[in-house]
Amino acid sequence: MSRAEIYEGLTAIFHDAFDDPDLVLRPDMTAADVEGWDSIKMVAIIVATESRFGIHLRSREVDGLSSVGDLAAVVSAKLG
Amino acid sequence: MPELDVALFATGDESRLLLSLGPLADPFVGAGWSHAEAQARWMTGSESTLMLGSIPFQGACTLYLDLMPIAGSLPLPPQRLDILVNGHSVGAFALEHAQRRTLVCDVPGAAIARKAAVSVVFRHPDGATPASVIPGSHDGRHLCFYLYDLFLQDGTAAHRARRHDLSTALQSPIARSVTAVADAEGPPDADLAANFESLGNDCELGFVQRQLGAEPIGLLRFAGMPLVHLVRGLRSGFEGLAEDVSFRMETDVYSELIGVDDRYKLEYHTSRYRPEADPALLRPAEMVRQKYLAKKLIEDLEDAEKIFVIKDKLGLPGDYLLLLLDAVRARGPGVLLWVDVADEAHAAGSAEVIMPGLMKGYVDRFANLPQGPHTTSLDSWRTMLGRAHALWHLARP
Repeated sequence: MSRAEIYEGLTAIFHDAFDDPDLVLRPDMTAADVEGWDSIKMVAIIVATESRFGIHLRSREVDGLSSVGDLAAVVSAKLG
Repeated sequence: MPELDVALFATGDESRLLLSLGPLADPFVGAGWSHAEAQARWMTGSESTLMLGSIPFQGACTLYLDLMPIAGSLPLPPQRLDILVNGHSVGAFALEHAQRRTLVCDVPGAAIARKAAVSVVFRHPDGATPASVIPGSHDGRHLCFYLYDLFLQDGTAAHRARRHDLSTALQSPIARSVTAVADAEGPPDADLAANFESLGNDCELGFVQRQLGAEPIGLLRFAGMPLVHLVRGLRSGFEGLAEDVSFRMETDVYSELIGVDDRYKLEYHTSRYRPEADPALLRPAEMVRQKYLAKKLIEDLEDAEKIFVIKDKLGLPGDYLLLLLDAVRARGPGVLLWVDVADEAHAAGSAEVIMPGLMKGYVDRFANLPQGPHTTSLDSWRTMLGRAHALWHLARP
């Protein structure tokens, strides 16, 4: 899966999670950049990411995420 | 006699028996009880009886009771409780404060050996009616103790030896924090705080982590789960958590929606409030979230890259914590940090290694969380966590 396809998938997940169809993802975007991105929302994003891409993110991988770019990189690595 | 609904939580291990006093305990309840509430029931009148039927062990054992005396708007006199197992007196208590706690009783082998059935009688001569001690209450029942769980641990030689080992180790720990090294070379606050994972009890560690700049995701970060149910969950991988039959949403006095799972007696904050949040809409998402978080906790235990924290605000008996330590170590080589209030022998901010896999840390006081997270003793926690982390780091391969 290409980088663009991964970002397309993540964008749909974030739009749904934050109920904001105008949200534009950037690799350097963190929780501090998006209002309402708290630990509860993070779980929703992870669960949706696992479901959409058909992957499992191990706990230590989730704990290592600090930005959208980190998440995209983990997804990319999982998809090989 | 029906089978206990939540008995023998360690598969293949017939050394433990748990009876939760919710609705499923009805077949085991004799005289002297209120109707079942979701997770517990009241002892009423002056005597209450449980009929456990046959139990899977015959020798001496330890009885643990998770209960709370009745509370009034003003302090009540000490509430007396005598406990008999098959007619043998195993404990006599007078509880002064209306707080939830765990009582421990040694049951002699003669009380249950070669007995076809086991009965437990609670004698409680005090108590009160809510109508007489709580302004505005019209409840005229004579209530004494609110019993959540009864737990029996077979007193095998191995278990008794471990209790002795723990008692000895608490007097002479393997290692104590080396303050100068730990305090000078520790990681930044947020990184330090992210190395710890709460195993429930209450939200204090979660707030400390937030105040130190860390927002880790955890099943029990802002949650409570009684220790014996936590052990059961760790053993089972939280099988059946947050299912449709056991999961519900409640609203607390601050209008916050509280997630409740009756199977594991989990209660947690959602940080969602009415009327903006609709519990019916939130519930399905919360069930998915709790299942995910349970899976994540099990992975964390397997990876053993964090320190797992149990805060002892109720004076938990040490050997009770051994059950938790065993459950943690059954998942991986993790370390349990038992946090207690400092005393004359243990300075606030200190930490020590009690035995392999078990550390103990001390803070100057616990927070008064009903008054808010600002009541945490942050400096004391930060220092203690830093020293515990240093000890843990030194011991890692």
